[in-house]
Amino acid sequence: MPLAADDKPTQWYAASRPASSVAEISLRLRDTTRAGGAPEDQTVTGQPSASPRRDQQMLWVDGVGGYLVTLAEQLVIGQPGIGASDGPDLPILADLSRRHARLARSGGRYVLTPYGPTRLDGRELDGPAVIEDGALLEFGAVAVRFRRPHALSASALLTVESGHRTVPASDAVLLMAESCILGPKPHSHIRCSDWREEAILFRSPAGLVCRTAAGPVNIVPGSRIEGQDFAFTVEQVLEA
Amino acid sequence: MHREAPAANDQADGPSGQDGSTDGSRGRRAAKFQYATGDQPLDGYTIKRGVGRGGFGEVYFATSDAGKEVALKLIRRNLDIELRGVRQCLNLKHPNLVALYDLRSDSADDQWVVMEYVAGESLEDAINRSPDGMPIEEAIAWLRGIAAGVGYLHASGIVHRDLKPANIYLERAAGPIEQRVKIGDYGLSKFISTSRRSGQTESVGTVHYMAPEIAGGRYGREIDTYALGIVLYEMLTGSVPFEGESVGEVLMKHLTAEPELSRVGEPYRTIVARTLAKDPELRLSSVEEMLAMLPSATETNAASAQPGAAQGPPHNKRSGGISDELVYGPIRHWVPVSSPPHTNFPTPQREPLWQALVDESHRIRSWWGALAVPPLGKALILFGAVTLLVFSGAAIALPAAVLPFYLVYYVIWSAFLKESGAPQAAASLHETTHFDRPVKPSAPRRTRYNWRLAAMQLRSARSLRQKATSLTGSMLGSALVATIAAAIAAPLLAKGTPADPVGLGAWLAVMGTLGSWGVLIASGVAETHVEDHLPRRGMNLLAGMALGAVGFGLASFLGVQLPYAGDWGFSPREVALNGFFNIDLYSGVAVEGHAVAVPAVASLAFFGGLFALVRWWRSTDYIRRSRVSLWSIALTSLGAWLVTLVTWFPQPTGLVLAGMIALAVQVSSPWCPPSRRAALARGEGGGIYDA
Repeated sequence: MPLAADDKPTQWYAASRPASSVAEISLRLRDTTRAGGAPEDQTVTGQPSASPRRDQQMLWVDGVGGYLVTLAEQLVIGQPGIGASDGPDLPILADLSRRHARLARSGGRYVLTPYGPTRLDGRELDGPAVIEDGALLEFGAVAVRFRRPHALSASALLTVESGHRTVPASDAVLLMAESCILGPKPHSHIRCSDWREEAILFRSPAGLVCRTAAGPVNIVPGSRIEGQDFAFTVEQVLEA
Repeated sequence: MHREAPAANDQADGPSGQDGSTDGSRGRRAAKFQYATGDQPLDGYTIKRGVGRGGFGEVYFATSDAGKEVALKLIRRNLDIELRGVRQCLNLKHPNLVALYDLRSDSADDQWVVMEYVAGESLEDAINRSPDGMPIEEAIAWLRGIAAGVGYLHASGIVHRDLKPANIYLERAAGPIEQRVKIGDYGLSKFISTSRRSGQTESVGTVHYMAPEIAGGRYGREIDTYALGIVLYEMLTGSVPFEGESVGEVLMKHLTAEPELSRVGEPYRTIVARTLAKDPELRLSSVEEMLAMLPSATETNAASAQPGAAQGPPHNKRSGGISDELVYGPIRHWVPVSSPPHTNFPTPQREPLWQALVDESHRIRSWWGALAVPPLGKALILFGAVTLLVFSGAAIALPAAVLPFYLVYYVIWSAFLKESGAPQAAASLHETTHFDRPVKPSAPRRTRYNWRLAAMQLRSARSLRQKATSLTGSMLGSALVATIAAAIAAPLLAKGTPADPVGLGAWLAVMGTLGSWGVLIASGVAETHVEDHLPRRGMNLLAGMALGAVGFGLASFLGVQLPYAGDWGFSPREVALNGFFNIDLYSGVAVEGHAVAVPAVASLAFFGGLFALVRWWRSTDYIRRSRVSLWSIALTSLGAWLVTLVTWFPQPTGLVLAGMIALAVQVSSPWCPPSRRAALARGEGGGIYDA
């Protein structure tokens, strides 16, 4: 769906936005990705601080952890910026460049493009490289583990193993493709050992949907999903 | 409480971010939390997610308005125990303790503990990751961190009381900061000094890590070393030493079962064994001792060892082909030291013939129980046997024939053949402490000694010569007292009766003397050897009958008639012996005129009965409450009167004589004065632990 000409980007992320907006964002991003431009180039001028960060949400899973879920196809990793506009998509509190590296998903594969000193599995990286499940990405002192637990899903998980903090603080960063799985099994993206059943998050034209044994539920930011023995909440990420 | 098997350990190297940061109780199905993301039950803090649920309440991850990350622990009303504990610990600071920031109450009057949020896995997760035990280096790194935190708690006078893997976390390394063990949930702890060791009745802690003495309401710091020993065992083997299907089964194993130590290599076996000693007095009481027993850091190559660091292929030294002895030095000799405190008492030595009889009766009973005869048949056989015994007179004749011989044998056995029991008990008390206990860092604990036991031990430890000297002294004293008492009593008794006061006085004096001697000798023989009433009564019966014989002979020799008062209720023909058995001991004896010559059988029966009925040894007891107790003398006299109901004896002469004997015995018997008791209770003269 092409963007309407009179749509102002700032309004999309208002608190009372319609449930379909997430899908719109992702569609828009997919469009932009196809166009070849990096998302950070699409910076909206005059965006106020404490505004929602684009297509990122926090997934708070009770008893398990807090996950930064990003729906974007690509993501720039770097040091947090001063204002909202100049920061990377995935800010890490560490001695990095503002734009240290870019991780992009294309055709079900992930490509890491280094802008600053970057190592992949201990090797210095001098150009874009495809990364596989279990790879260790090192940006200076920051070590990030890349996991793709499910063979049929392009979604991936980034864990900062060196203990540096992401902004906002999270236990891991979920790069969500079409779907991701929360559950007790090893192939789950978010491993919830104490759960008996699985919950699957996926994109639909109507927005993010969570499917559990009870059936699908639409997700809007702030909505809480409760199952028989689990509960989690999706929260909009606000730019600090 | 059955531990759940770790769910799917196939992803042992899973991303550490996925295990979540746990601050409460993982492994429990506790996903329902009262508050959801975005709630602000406590002013200034926004809940982000539930973390876990402990025994006392839910734990949340929250951020303050300014963005400070904290863990919030919700404590419901009326949980005063927990709150008291938290207040005490609020300002403790140690790198290995989860910091407590504040204690707040919300609008619903619920209490919240604001505390440090620890991102990282719990020890429980780490143990679940290695079901066959984690590498030694990793376990030691955990242990050192835990011990440092617990040592600080103990140094602050606080017992954690709830140490378990779910309460111990490993904070993730952050850049240059190394990962660090953090102990949480020490809110349950109490001051050692202020808590009476047995104040609380409710059980605390998780049952797998619960020291046996908690069953007795004792909460010393030893319960933490015990829990630490269980945790060490669990880290090294992957499972707790005492498992069971129910809480009761696990508790029973803590109380009685020995841990299976063959799965743990030295020197850790020794450490585990000594921390799992059942008796807190014998247990390693401080974590410093425990740390001192660990191999030095160079031996374990601790520089490279951080918990969690060995997630790759475990380089276990035990499987490296090098013997433990080479790696850790000579294996120290270990003797099983632990036995539950309540089973530590020596069983008193039994008389072999009696023991044989008891064993035989057990055998017959089990044979009888297994006999393939219908119940009715058994009942008939039993009835027949009992009838036969009663009517043939065997029921009376057999014991009557055997008992005197046995009694004589028993006296000889207990006096000469039996090894003295009390020193043996003392020896076994000391023999369990076969390692040197380092001095505890804290002030010496006041130990209460059992002064009674100590006094009895001291008495039985006297040599035969000392005993004989003491007995002779007592006998002389009692003779003196009896003579004086007889001189006072005889004129009063003889007044108004045809009895001769002088002859009566002589008779009373001799009888009182001999009677007290009988009691003194019997007690001297039985003291510290015999704990049963029955043998003592038997010996007293013999002594009493001998006294009766002497009394008859003496009365005949002196020609004394014993006076009696007419208004003492009974005539010789009204007592039980006459009424029920139609035996008249006084047939052919004139009992008129308020003085009577008591026949031999009546004399034997009265004194025998009197000596068997009254617990005379109470009067000679070294640890009796007071030297002379009028109450006890009155009771003895009452006994004499009771015997008269069965076999008549001139009263109040018999009554007075009984009182005289009691008085003489009490005055002359050695007695433990209060000052000596106090000294014994303080443990002077080889204290004996209060059992």
